[in-house]
Amino acid sequence: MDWLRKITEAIAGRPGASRPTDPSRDVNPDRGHKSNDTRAGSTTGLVTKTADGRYAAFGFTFSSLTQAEEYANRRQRRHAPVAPSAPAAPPPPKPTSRPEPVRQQTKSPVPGFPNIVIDADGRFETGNYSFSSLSQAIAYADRRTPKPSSPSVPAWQRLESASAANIVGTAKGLSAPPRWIGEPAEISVGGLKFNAELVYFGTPKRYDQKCDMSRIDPALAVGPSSDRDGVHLSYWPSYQKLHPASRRAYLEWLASGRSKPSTPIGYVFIFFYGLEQRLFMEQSRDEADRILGEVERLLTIYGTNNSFRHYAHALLSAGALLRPNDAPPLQPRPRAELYTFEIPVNVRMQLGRAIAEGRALDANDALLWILNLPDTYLRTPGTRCFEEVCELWRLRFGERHPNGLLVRKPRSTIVQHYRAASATFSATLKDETIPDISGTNAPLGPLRDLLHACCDELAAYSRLLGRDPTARGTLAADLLLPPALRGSGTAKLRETLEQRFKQSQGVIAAAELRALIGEDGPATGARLPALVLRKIAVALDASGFGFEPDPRYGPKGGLSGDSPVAIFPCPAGGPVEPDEYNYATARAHVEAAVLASVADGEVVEAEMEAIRIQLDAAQVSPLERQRLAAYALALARDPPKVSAALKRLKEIPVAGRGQVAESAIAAALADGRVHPAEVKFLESLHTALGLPADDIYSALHRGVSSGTQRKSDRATAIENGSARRIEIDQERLEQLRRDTTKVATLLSSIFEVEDEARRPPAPIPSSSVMPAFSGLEPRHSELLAAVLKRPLTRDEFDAAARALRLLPEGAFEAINEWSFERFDEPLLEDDGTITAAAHLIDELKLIGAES
Amino acid sequence: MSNIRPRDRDSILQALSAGVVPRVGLRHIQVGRVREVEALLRDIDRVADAGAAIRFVIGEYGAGKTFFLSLIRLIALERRCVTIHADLAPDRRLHATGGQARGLYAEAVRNMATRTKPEGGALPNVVERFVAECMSSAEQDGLPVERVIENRLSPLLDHLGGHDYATVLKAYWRGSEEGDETLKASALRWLRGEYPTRTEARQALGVRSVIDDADVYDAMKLLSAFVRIAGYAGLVVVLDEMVNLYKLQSAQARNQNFEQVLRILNDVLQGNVAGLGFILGGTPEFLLDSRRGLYSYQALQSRLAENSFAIDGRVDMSGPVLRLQSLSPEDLLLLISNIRSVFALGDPDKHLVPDDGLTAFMQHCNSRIGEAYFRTPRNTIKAFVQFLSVLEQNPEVDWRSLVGDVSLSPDEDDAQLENDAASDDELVDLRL
Repeated sequence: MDWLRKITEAIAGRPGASRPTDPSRDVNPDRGHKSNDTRAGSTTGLVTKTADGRYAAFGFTFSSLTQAEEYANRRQRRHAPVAPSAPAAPPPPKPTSRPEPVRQQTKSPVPGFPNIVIDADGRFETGNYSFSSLSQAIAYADRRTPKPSSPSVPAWQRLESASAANIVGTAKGLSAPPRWIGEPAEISVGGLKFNAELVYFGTPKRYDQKCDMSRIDPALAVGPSSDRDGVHLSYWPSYQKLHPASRRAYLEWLASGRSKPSTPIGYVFIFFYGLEQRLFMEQSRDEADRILGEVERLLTIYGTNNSFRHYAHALLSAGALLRPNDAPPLQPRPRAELYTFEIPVNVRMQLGRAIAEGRALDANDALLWILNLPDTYLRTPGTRCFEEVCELWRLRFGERHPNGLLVRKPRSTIVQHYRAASATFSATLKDETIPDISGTNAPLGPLRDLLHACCDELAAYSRLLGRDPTARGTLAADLLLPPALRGSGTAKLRETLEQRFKQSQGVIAAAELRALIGEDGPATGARLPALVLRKIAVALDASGFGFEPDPRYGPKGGLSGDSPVAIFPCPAGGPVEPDEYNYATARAHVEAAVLASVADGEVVEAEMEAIRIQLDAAQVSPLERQRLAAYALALARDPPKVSAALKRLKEIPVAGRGQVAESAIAAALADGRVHPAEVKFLESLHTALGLPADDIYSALHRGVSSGTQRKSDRATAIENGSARRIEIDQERLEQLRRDTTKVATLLSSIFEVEDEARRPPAPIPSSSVMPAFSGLEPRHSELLAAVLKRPLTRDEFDAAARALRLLPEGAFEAINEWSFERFDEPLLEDDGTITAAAHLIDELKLIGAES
Repeated sequence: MSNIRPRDRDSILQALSAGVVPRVGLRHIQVGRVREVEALLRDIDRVADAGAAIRFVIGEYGAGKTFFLSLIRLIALERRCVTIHADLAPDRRLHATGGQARGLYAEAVRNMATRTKPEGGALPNVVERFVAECMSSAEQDGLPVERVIENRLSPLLDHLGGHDYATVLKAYWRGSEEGDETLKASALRWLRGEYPTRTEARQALGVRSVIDDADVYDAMKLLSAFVRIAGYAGLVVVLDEMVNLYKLQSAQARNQNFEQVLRILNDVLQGNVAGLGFILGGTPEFLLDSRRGLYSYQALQSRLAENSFAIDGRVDMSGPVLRLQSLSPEDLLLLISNIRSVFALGDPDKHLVPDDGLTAFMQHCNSRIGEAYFRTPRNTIKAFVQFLSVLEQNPEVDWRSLVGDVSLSPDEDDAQLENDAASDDELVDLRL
């Protein structure tokens, strides 16, 4: 039933809880007094016991004695002598079944109010109506009967006065002429003296209920004690009708500057009635600003009271019509604060003015408009994170309407009805210069959608704030915001990352990243859950860093806490299209190259450099290149299993495989030597790619043995275009020429060393037979002489040798050996016949050999 | 460079136009590679100085491995070393059980060369020189020749099978004394490791062992000791086409061969042998392949790994691996300009074509066969020599008109050579 009550209250604008209602306040004491009286009477003898054990009283039977006595009591009271006449009392309905007339004699007139009687049930009757409280009845009677001119105080006031008269020590002041106190001025009421402002003051000649709800009449009694808790306050309080104690409380509140938050709202309303009366009934435009300002001030203090908030807003909105134009533009605020079924007039005016001037509505105006539509419901994100929604709205609105939103000028102009909070008057305000957008609907659909979209975008953020209201501004909350709204959280992360990037050459542990985004987990070992990975990805994207291996842009393998992750600064996390051909191929290149260079157990800088050079040559965008370089870094620290990687490489289209192998070889070669493990990897790579393994060795060989190799060599070896021209590298040619000269000199020194030795062909004096053959054994000399005489056949030579006790082959060897010593050339030639070289014979003759 | 003998010129040009490596005058056409040559020269000197050396000359097909190995071999001969050389082949390897290792040894020893007999077949010369010296020494000292041989060969007894060496050499002496050619041939046959069984060897020579598959390396060590006793500086073993080991299908066979390589490497690097050098030529995959190459053999892998400080262009030539880079256009340009110079006998005034002609020629080759001509310089050289020959013999012809006519086909042997090393034996067939 709670909701029902709320709705009723909302419609009425008056919650029951906050304001005491009349019956309990006004009637109860009355009633209590009376019941006390009746209880004093006696019922003895009126109740008799019946035969069946029940109790009879006045012809009725009751099951219990108490009931019977109770009844008897009531009967007795009714029969007691009261004012016999009840002129206004209608004839009571006749009971048909009951033997005894009950109601006819039960009415008793209320003293002082000839029109009101108390019926048998203790209710108050007047003019055929029955009321539960006396004050209701009096009010009704007042309204029914034409007002008697004589008593200047209305009937209800008389009651007040009557009751007030009972209070001891009532202070009554002198009457004062009625006036409005705008500027602060000292007044003196009921013994209190204080500076008052914005109040009506004085005793009117005649109370006009419409206007005088809040007038401070110094002639009225002010009690000595103060009703600070508002015990005596009625639903629509007015100063005249206030209990004297309440008047004191009210005056004290005024005197103390109208700002004590615990003051019952009834007093605030009394003051408020005066303001609205001044503003709307008397249309005091000069004071509009002051009054509106005062209401705004009150609103900040007493805004927690729904009823007051509603009326205050209504006043502020309508008051805008009376304000001069120079008011500052309104800021959007959640609609939830308002309970009207139309767009507040100040909003309409602001929008209307813009339209009248032909201006396009800016984001602020549009949001103001949409928020103030009565049927706009800001969903939870909207209320929970209103600031963010506004900010996002401005952004999105700006995207959609870069030049603002143009609205056609509606024909109707602004008309505002104001119903006073005191329910005593209503006013109609108009401004015919300002068009009224209330009837314009066309642009609202898209705007509403836009607002919903904004709320949707912030839904996750709002849920987080719902769980943890302190999360605002933290990284976790920041990440849930659209990128444009991100603030301190991501900035801090970016700073940290930049620092770490510099410190660690771009590679940090996955666990550290996890810690940076505020996730817990074991320091090492265990795999990072996919959720955490996603969070890392989002966080790094937001802070302008990319990372590798990033499961979004590569194989889906997970990361464990200690796996190295390469980070690199790039806008929006550097998204790439992982399946795009060039990228995928380049990635495979990198993978193969890194595997090749880690095969020997370490990656040296030269190898990474080779990979980078290859990347530079790859046909990928700079962003992709950056990502791949990072990938290489991470891979080098934590190489994948070769078998798994090779399996992936198999997916490369055949056309790109050769290049993959090339990159791998180049990387393996980069450190200038070939480790057997690297060769082994390259072999398995080639097998996996279905390429002939023979190429590896040639390529490795080419790469290794040339420290001074030209870079283009490898490139020219790759391309098979036969049409290319030969490029002669002059520098290299010169180098080569120098080498050639060197080697020629070297070789000459080897092959011609004996040339020098033989140059002085001095005849050697010897005891041997032939001085020309000096150095040669005598028997060999003899044999040589034989050959020199005439060429010998093989057999003759053998025979000659044997005759000299020589072995023919040995002699041949020995003679030629001697000839080498002398002439650097063999002397004997064996072509079936053994001959001496003709040109050497001449030389022999020169040095004196006998022919 | 300045003094090219007409004789050298002819033999160089003859060899080049036949597409083989010239025997002489390599210094006239060698381009660059000064560091490599210096490194190998140091190796040879070490061998000649009773040291030991091993080199893996790694280069791609057409990088000039064969040329380079020939050059080194000639240098070794010049340094008074004996060289033996052979190409590995499916039936010739370092270790085997079916006679293939013996086959390699036999082939290598058959190719034995000395300075006086650089074309190979120098085994009888070496043996006879030794025996003759022993004979003259015996004559002087009045000792039996056999005793002298034994005495001289006594250091060999330290080696495996050293005793039989003396027996065989004595048999050779006997054969020459008695005019028993069969006995001499048997002795040489034994030295060449051509006896398949001990029984045959015992019947022919009275020795108890033969050089078998399992002890080819030991035989080489013995041989090196022998040639040093015979008066030479040392033995240089040149083995080309090592890639055939890599091509062995059986992992066991491969590993046994690599084990031999490891033995050699260890002995050489530890200084266990004297006067013995190994120069092994192979392609990159022979070295690098981690399943079948030298790198597949863990012990070799760590020994052959490159100097980790020799990076970024710093070169360390002291490691056992020496890499030969394929010819670049610049290399080729210098090479043909060297050939031009050989044609002109080193006289710049007699150049048959100007420098423009050289580049035009290369351009022409390039447009004809594309990139392959760098990898197969052999044909380019051949064509260039023929081109110059025509110009020389027809002085009226302008070179420009010829450039378009040079016919040049991509090396047909290309694929075949890769598979069958036997057909790439220009060193084996190196004759003038």
